[in-house]
Amino acid sequence: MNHHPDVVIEVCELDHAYGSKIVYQGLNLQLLRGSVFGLLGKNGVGKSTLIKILMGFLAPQKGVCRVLGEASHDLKPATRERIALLFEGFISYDWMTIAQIERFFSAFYPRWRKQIFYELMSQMDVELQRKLTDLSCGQKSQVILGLLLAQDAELLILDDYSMGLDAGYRALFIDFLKDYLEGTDKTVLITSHVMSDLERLVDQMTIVAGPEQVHHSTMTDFCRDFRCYQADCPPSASSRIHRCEQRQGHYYLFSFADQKLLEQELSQPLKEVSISFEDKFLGFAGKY
Amino acid sequence: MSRRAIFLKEYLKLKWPLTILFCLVVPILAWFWWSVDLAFHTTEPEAMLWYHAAQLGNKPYQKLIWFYLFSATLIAWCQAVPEMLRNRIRILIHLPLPLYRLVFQHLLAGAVMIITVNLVVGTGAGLIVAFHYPAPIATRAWSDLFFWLLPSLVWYVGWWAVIVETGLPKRLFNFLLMSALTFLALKSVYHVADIWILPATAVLAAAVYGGFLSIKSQGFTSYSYRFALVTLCCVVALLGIKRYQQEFVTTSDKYYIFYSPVLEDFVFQQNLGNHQYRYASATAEFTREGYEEVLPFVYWRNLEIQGKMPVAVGGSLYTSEMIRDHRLSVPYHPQDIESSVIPLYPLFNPSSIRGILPFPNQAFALAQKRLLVYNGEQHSRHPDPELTATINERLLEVGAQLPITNAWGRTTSMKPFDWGYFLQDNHGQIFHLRRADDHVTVKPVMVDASVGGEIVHMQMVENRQMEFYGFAITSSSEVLLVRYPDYDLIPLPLAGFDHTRMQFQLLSDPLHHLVRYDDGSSYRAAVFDRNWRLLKATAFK
Repeated sequence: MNHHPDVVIEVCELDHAYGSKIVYQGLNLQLLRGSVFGLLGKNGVGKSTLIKILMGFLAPQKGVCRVLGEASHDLKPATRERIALLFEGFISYDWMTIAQIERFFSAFYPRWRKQIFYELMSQMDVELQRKLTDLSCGQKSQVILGLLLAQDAELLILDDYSMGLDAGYRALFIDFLKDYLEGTDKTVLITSHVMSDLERLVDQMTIVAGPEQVHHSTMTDFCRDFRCYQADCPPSASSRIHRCEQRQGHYYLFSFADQKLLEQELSQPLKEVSISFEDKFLGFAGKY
Repeated sequence: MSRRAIFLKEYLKLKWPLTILFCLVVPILAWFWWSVDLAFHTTEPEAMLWYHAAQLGNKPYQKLIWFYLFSATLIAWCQAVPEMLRNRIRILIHLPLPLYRLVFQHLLAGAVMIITVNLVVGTGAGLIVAFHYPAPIATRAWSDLFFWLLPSLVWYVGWWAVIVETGLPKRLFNFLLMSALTFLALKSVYHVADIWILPATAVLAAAVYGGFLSIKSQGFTSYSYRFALVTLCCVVALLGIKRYQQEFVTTSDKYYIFYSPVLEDFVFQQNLGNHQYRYASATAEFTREGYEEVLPFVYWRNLEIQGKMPVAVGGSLYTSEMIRDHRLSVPYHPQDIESSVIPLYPLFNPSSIRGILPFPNQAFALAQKRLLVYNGEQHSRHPDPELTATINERLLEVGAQLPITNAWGRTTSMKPFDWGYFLQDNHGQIFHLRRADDHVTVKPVMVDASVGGEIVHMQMVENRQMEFYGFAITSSSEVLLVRYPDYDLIPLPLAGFDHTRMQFQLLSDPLHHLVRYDDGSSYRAAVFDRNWRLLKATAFK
């Protein structure tokens, strides 16, 4: 398989299963350089499995998974140097102080940008001699973000950055990340359960709803095209309706179809409802 | 840069465990000093403690091995477990460093800390031993305390391999391999060859690398590693079985061969297992009672209780006293040659006006240039200059070529009298050293040129019959009795005897001497008259 220099992550015909439970079947995915890519899905649909495969902790059972042109489960040290990983739950060396952990990681990365780390630290009212274990979850997230950004990697894989963070720290995280990415061609793969944050950050995304229910799109296209309509009586069956929910005596239809087209097909009036990205995501992936 | 960073990380992780270990060193060494000092103040004579350490293998510092293993366990756990908690090890694996180097640097960091802390405790313990004990014991102590780093390193690397491996069967395998290697690395005497443990530990370190790969759901499939692992397993299995058999398995003889003066033939008791025995000769089967009847010199106590003494054999009557006076049992085992004792021997000094043999407060050691005599009465760990000079002068007077390379004698005071030691000098000549009534004598034992091979082992037999001093075994497995009092060497023709793998037992009664010898599968016996002329020989399988 030829590697295009602008393709940072490439997944071709990926199959993966845990016993008889199929997680992915023929998954294809491409991340282009400079994109901020959201990997979205409910719990248990295989987000973590894909992240593990991309991080190199799981070998694909079938298919190809390349990161920066190399097989993801066999990355050379020089390639690992170009990838920054954020592990779910902000896993780090909690017994180190802020200064010590910066010193530790700086030893491995020749392009280490110390000033970025300390710039981010300066925004927190915290002493550099404090151990990570003594920091709040939010403060720790900033330290780890600082470490990731100081690495000056080409690709950042951020697995559930929002876990345990309140709205303020989530916003700080996203804002700093956005500022950092501004004007660069760095690529980001991000997962989160907080959709409102992602809406501000992500430009491309994949929603995983099941082994064969994978939707690739840009954030703009998805937010524009995926709509929610309210109906007063039960709609007849249609392939254009992605999902139908009944709440408080009304029927809510989720669809990529235009309102007029859908009204014609269903032969009933519909009223478009304005909903958030999170509700659209739930409309696509389902609540349970 | 990366090595320093990893050392810093490991140091920060191990700061408190190391502090605990270093804090423990002080009370442990204080306890060790106290226990050794107390033993020297409460044991009389002091040389009895030397004897315990040198001859019985009761090393005063033996318990310190637990500290070595504890420190290895603590450091391995405190290093590896935090990496495994919350799967932090993934951070390490993603670092832009070859995985093998990452593993090596982590193990090196821990190993340096284990070696440091154990060298501190080992040096302290060695100094305490050297302060209280003569040099040969202190030398062994230094050797042990240094070589104990081997089991502690095996234990340390092994724990890493167990903790980081994610697959349960491999984890179990690593645990078994680490336990077996540690068992082999714990020895009573260490030699330079025991350094083989280090490459074996390197294979265990490769298993740690395999454990890191298991985090990535990958196996360590290198053929070199598999070959090394299979080779190591074979070596460990072979050495482990041998060691286990040496230390824990007691084998029972299949045949107990005797010579019946009644039948004038060999008879035997065959051990069939499960407490079942067969009693027979080459031509007849016996009941237990019949078997005892044809061996009156063996079962004479039964006859005595039954009021059947004296017993008539070959037209002569033998009383209990006659039988008792002629009884003798001298054993030899191949392990006697590879003695693990420290070359420090109690220098007995029987007194002609005292009835018992007191345990002496002096002991001699085989040093590089001469014999050294240590004197417990001087409460000094330095040799006694006067006694040392006397013995060496006596040796030189009779033509010994120093240094003395071997000493053979019975180091216990639980014997009827003391005949001292056979010594072998640098040229292979044999001398008889004895001290009695504060007087040291050395006599040469002339070994005829017709004797095949060099003498490799001797044993002193201090028996009331005073028929012979003991026996010698040559490199060609010839067995020679050293006759009393003229030191004439009487060869015993023992067909097929191999001193490296066969044991023998010499038994005497009023009419015969019997030598039975075996290697566990082939059983042989030879019977001699009272003048050591061969009468008959037999063999069983």
